[in-house]
Amino acid sequence: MSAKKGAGYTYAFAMGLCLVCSIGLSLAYTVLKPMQADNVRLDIVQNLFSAVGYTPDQIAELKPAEVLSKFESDFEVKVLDKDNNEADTAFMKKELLGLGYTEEALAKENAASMMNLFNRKVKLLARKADKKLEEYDPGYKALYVYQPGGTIEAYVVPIQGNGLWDIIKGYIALELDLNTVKGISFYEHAETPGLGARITEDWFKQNYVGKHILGNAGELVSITIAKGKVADSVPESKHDHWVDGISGATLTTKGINQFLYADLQKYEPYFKTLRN
Amino acid sequence: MSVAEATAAPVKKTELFGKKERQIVKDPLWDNNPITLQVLGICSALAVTTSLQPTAVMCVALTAVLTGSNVIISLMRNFIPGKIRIIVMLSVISSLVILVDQTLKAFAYGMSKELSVFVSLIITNCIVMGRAEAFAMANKPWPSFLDGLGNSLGYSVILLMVGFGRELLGSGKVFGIQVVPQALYEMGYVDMGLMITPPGAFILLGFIIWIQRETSKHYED
Repeated sequence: MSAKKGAGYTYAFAMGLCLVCSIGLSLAYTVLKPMQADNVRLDIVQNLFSAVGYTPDQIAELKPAEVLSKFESDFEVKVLDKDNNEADTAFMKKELLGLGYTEEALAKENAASMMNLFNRKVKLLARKADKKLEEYDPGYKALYVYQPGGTIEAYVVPIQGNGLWDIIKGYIALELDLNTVKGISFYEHAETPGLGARITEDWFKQNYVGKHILGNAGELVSITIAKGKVADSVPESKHDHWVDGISGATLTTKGINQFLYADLQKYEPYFKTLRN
Repeated sequence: MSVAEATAAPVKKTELFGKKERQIVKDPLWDNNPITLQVLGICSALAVTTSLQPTAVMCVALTAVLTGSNVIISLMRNFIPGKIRIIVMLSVISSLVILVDQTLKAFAYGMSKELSVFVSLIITNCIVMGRAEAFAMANKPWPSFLDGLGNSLGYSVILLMVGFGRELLGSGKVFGIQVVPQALYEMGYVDMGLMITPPGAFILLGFIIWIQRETSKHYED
């Protein structure tokens, strides 16, 4: 073959190939990105409906546009600052526009995703200014209020944290008592298929429904995933706060246990005011 | 068919579907199947075949990557420096796989979520690399295209067979449509849970290999 052509040729060929491949992929990525972003946005909304009790079939029946418009009418997105007052998303939008985002790019964001973008930018700014994150992090958090037909039926809290391989993101929906679980869903994860990835299976999510996050004294105990069946490993009196585990997914479920508790704790002060 | 064969036979090299070309496509379908005979690409044959829909998408994805990589490698075959040919193939294959993965994310998001890492794992599917090294490096683009197509189809045939068996026995469905009647369940019929798990695929694959070797009379020494 081209063995005679020497090392220079080999280097040049390798460089050329890398250049062609990377340009090709960048182009493809740029072209496909808006469509992927739409898909992700739709997926998030579908998961919100799944968290408040829609079955997979019910969700599949709805066309993408219907899901999105239903989201607009059925959910109210609230962004709270660290003192649990409603935060000013217009201010966030202004900041993001100042950081190079276009009006067009932000048009599809709702208050919660706007806040996510802002939080990410705040981290970057903090790193640039070499300041401790706490000084910059305003502790914004999003809350979805589910109110089909005008009456509030559930509160949905976004949850996220580390699984085994990557961040797991999801939602947990609470009934009006802010204690009983209405549903849970996970929409982004990179857990092992067949093991950790089974957290997205229906039977596992159904386990959470009807469980309670508060103990007898009204303190937050959250919900823990057992090793194996709850009936075998957890005393009867605690069944209210435990769900069946997935064999082979110990680290995934450990992660969920941790971040579910941590995230619920963030909302607890606000929920206390709502419960009264 | 025999007419086409007769007219195509005298023309050499430039023919599109001569006997040799048809042989290239036909051979890997059964007699020299990449999965059952060469026992390559087993990982995905076990992983994505619990139901037919993801199986079919996986087959399309692999066909796109395999034919694409065969043609590209074949086009470059006289320019690829021998010393770095493996890494060159890998770059081409992985670029194509990323392309397929991104396309799925844009146009079939639910499916790409279901297939998760297995689309990216096409990179490590030995069939793709094997055909590039064994065929595309030594043949012109058109035969390489046919070889890629043939091997993808051979892979797909087996995957769809396994997927069909697993979905039918494991969940009583075909392409997500219930085929085992409710009456049968009421009489006490139970779906075979084993078929959903990887061992179920192993067992089915074993049966297919058995039948195949019995018909082709090909035995390992």
